[in-house]
Amino acid sequence: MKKFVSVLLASSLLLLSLAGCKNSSSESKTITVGASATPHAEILKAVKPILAKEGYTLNIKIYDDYVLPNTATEDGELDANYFQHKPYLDSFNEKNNTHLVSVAAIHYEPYGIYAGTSSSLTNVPDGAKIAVPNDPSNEARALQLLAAQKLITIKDGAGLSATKKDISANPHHYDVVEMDAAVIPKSLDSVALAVINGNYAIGAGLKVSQALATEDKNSEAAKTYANIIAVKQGNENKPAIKALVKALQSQEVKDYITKTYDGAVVAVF
Amino acid sequence: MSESASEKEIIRIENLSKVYHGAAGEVVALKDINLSIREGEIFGIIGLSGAGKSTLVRCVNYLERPTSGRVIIEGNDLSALSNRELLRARQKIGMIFQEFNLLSQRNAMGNVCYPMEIAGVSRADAKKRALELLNMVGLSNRAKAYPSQMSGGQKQRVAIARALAMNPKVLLCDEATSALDPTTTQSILELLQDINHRLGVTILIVTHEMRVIEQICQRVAVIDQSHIVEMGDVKEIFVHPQSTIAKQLIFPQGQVPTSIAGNSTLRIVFDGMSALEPIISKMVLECHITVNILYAHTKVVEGKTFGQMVIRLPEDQTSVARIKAYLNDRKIYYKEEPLHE
Amino acid sequence: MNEYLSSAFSTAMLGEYGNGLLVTLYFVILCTLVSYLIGIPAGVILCVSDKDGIHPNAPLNKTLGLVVNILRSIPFVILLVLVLPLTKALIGTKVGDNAFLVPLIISAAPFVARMVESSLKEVSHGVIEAAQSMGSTNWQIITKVMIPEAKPSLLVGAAISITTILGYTPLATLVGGGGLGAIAVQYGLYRFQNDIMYVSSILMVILVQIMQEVGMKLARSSDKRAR
Repeated sequence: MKKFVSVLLASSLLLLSLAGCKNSSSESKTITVGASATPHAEILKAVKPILAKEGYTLNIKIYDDYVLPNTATEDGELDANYFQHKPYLDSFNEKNNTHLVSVAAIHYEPYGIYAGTSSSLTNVPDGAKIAVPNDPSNEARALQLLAAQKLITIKDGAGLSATKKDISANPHHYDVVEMDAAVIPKSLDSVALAVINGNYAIGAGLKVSQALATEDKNSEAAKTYANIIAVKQGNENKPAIKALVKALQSQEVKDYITKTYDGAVVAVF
Repeated sequence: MSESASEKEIIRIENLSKVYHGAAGEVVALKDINLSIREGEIFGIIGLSGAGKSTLVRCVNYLERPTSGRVIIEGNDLSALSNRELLRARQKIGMIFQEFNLLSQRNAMGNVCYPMEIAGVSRADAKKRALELLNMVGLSNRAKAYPSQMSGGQKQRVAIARALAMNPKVLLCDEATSALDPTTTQSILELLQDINHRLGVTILIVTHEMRVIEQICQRVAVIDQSHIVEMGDVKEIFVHPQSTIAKQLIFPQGQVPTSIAGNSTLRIVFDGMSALEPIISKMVLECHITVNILYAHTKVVEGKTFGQMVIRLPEDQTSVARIKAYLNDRKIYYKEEPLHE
Repeated sequence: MNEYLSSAFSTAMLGEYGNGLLVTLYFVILCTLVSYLIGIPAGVILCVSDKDGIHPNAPLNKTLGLVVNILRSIPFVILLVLVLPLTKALIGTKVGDNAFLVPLIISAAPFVARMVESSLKEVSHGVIEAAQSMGSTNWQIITKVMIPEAKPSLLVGAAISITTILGYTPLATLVGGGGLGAIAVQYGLYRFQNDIMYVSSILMVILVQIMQEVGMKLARSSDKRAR
């Protein structure tokens, strides 16, 4: 028994140290990227064979939150991450004193206004509830989309940090309800309209083609909220990173996105 | 002691057994208990801890259901009663406990009113009766006090008042004085005696202390390891204890201490005779003897002596005869016993 | 960036705190009342049907115990999402203050049930036995002996329950509900406006302290066992 335990310990230690070795070097032919599950990790999976042909092994690490992938990239645990848009990255750098930079914009997920109890944008009763996400950048985007569809008016200059308080005109007295983005798709029977972002719409089984309205591809929102590949400052020109960007901004990926996401995800390159 | 004891039977316990089925197997708590308790008497049940006496008293009001046998109270077989009838029967049987078991969130008045409340007595009537009862137990001035503000003796008095609220004919006392100091024990026993005399309530007392039995009980059953090993008049058992347990209980310190060989001893039982009469000193004078007191355990209550004393008898038989005559004359119980080493 | 609030104590904000306080109180009071309405009978059943209780009933005890345990082990956020259909059925909407009350109550009631059960089990068995010896029915024992004797412990349990319920109120923001907690999360956490986060959190702490103190004082003063 004793002998077995010591052999087990020794081999575990050996394995662990080998594993440790693998992660650290960025000169190696392995690229580790942290990403959200949908659609980011899926798109990366599509790129794997392309990179393999170049001799790179792509490791995808899935994250549920929006803080750890950035801190892990800052710490060197990840070579890059793919889950956020630039405004979020900038704000994160500022609040957390990190040094991450964007190297490429890949896609955006158009926000959509989806039908709740109202089946069109024109027959919404006065005073009806419209659900928007309650976290900052998502709420702003949602409000801007509502404004673009002329349901409400947003104060000039509120831009992409608008909140409910920046609504300057609401002639139909809609009750704008700020709530958790993940819960909105489950509450469609309790609101007239719901503004949902691409991720959650896909997750809830909604089709972007079903949306009553979406963000235009050339809108400020689309440009600003493109999801980017972020790396630690200084690593932008590493060959592995350049290879990753090239593989992602390829026609194959563009076709993959169009085919797979039916409008919920749109390539920006 | 109590002249109100009649010959009429009020409680009969027939072939009662109680077996517990536990994780460790079967435990026989009581086996073939047969008792007949007369109306108006004060009956004691004594035994060591674990002998089964608490179980027995709980079978009398069916807090414990006997495994076999019957309990008949005032002619009613408790096993034949429906649940509802059993509850009503319990209203006529009072019970007091070692830990008093008063409702801590009610004052004395509230506690005494409880049994009347559950029997549907009107608030006003209950309050009136409660005050009467508290008066009877000497606590009329503490009606508004809470149990936490009372001494042990006061709490037991409230418990007694509560137990008598519905005019029961029987009062069960489960180690009622075991948690009280000797003086308080005394006053509670006196109270019980008083209640027995005035109201004619039959009292069943369960205890492990002999002094409780000797003070107020007329008859006693000695229980040892789930059996009744001895039963009879307190005086008899006291003077002629047959069973080992009875002897152990009557002689709590074990053997009589002695260092002198030969001769016999006389055990004199004091059973409430006047303490004003100097029995021993008179005996010494009248019998022209010296008295060697080997052991004495007596106490004086309200001018009466209770307890026992063991004296070493003198060698010559004449003196012994004189002593015995003296004692017989005064109707003082004694028993001759050989000297133990 | 457009900062629409210059300070945590602007008049607009004060109005929000006031409103938030009212909503938080609404949550806490209503949830506590309904949870106790459900929790007291449940706790009584759990205590009475226990194998050492006055009316043992193993199947009932095990079943109710299982339901209570399951509800208690589901994380609140998951529970909230799972009961959305029920919320809709009960109050007609999944969104807003009242919609938040449904999962809040469903989460609190089992907790309260266990607290009530625990308080009732503390009542001296001797006192219950005395009540039985006097011919009390089980119902009389429950209502006239167990609950009154357990009163001080029940009050302490209530103080604990209230503060626990208060701790869940920030999650109202998930379904668009309000309250001080929602303000703390919405402005403080999400928008990094720490000053607002601190102020609303401090207000909640003060609320908790007051409720706790009042609860404990009430428990102590009404306990007749204290000399």
